[in-house]
Amino acid sequence: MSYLADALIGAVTDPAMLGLCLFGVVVGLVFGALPGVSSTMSLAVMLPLTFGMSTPAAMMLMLGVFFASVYAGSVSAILLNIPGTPGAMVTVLDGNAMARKGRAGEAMAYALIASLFGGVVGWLLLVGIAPVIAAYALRFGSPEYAAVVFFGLALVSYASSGDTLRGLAAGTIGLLLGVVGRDVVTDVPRFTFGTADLQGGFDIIPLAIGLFGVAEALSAMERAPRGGRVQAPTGRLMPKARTLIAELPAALRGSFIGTFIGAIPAAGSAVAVAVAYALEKRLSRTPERFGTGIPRGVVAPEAANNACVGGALIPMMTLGIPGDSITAVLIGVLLLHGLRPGPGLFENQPEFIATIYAALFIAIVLTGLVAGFIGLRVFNKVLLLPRRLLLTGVLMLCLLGAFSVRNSAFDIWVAVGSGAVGYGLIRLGVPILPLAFGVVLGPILEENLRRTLMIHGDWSVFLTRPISFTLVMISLLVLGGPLIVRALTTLAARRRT
Amino acid sequence: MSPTPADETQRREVLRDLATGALSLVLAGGLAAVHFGQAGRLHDDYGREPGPALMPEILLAALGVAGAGMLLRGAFFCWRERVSPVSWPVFWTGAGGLRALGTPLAVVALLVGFLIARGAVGFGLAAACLSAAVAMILARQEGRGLPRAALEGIAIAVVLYALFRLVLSVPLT
Repeated sequence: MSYLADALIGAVTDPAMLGLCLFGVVVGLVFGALPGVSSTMSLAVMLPLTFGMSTPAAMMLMLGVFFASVYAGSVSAILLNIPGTPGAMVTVLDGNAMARKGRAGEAMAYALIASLFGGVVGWLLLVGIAPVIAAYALRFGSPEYAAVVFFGLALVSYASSGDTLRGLAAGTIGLLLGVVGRDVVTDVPRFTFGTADLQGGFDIIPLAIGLFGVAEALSAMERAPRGGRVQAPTGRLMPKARTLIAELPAALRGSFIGTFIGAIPAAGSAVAVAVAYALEKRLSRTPERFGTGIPRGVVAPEAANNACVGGALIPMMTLGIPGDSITAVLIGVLLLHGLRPGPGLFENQPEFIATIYAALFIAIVLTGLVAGFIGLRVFNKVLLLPRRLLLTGVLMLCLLGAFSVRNSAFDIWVAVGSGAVGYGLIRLGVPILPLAFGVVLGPILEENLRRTLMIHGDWSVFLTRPISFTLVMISLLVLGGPLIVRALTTLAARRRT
Repeated sequence: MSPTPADETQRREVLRDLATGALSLVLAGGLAAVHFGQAGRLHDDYGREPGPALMPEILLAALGVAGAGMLLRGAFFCWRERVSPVSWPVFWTGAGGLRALGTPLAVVALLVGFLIARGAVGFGLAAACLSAAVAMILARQEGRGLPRAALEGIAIAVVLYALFRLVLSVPLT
């Protein structure tokens, strides 16, 4: 603890360190708000700047970029219906619906406050009980990984607006898109139709840009609304204190879910936000209001998404395992400076571990200050643009964002194609979210399912291990429950008549 | 007696069930034909490793079942209520009817045009033309002046191109 206090005081009283973190936060906010520019890409762009820095200074800069860019993914999700990252995909449901009702300012404020809350809870758990969580996360074998991914997909199908059966079909199509390309184990091509571009499979970002951004822009182009704006004016910025307090339990639940799932390597923020959102819908007395623009639909996933930052750092710091591509870049920064994260670092350099904790805390505080005092007001101005400018700008951002992921023209084709498909799905009443989640989680599900069957021989292992058994049973209940209830209700009604 | 709005909403849902179910079945069938028709090592025996064919086969079966479920649900409603899924005028001009597709389809055509033109004239010029064209289509829809909209569209393209090209160093070609 004394190391942490020293590190915090040292960083706060050092203008150079504070300035570096502030620079990282501003860069993270701007880059993260751009569709197609992921947290990983933002970190990668900043990586060369750290070559000449001391390790603490480099971590100050990188953690500033990391936390701010994770939060900023919600900005384009709320304002433009384009989730820049998988972690922001659930935020579009209620965040953009609030923006359409003229409550964009409030939605952004809820997202910011929930993000900061989730960030702080994740940080506290990282500092306090990281080794305990890491030990529990390591008990996850391939059956548990496969089950948790299936669980996440089931919850998304259930929680998306619209029919569960259509959600199930959309999720299955997403999983099929996820298997396109060369199989990682056998190198056999699947559904590539002989084209070179499909050998590597689909990247989620161009697909998400098309499914959410292009499709939404096409929908908004159907008719010109009165007033020449896509969405109503942005309304008040800060929510009332009473309503904020009412959302506190949801933020707390989302934060714990985010930290724990974030600590499971490869599970990632996508599963965490799906679980957090579905849990709130399940606990709500008015679940039908989810997806229509309610604060809880923004607070829970945003708290979970940002708590994942602390969660993802847990296996990285305690075991040296990168939980996702972002922490892989951070490990790269440490390795570049001659440090190997893991148990040895804890024992030999506790003061450096304290510096990382301090850097993350300062990044959270600075993100709150910069986004709260400047960012919200600037971002809100976007919605005041005339409709023709906003929609044209969104389309151009979609094309540029899709290209910039891999500098590939094929990705623009993917964004345009998935935009047209997404528009068709919107008209057919098919929820898009399960499709996007299927693409993200498909490869993880397949890898762990095959590994499970190879190691354990048959499917019964999912029923003999307590964690996977529980997750599979809940998933089946979530998927089958509404269908069974509807069938029983229809039968009862027919008997009465 | 003419159908009530609630009837129309329900009928539209039935039409969506039938359309989504049929599309899912066609997709599952088509992809299954591709999958099972693929030569090479896809269907080899990999011993204890389940092999690359397992996951697609599970998913194709699931998609087929979901498609058949939606199709049956829609057909069951039509049979029970003795109605057609949705009346033609509503299908064409009602809220969300097919007549509203004009502008989105025109924009999709422009996007495909941009993708084809990009290779010949470069990203910047193609993007400026696309941006101007989309802004003009939307301005026409709103009853505003086209020349000004074209200039605004070009300005948007230039600003965003400069942001990605110069600030983010994305090689836009």
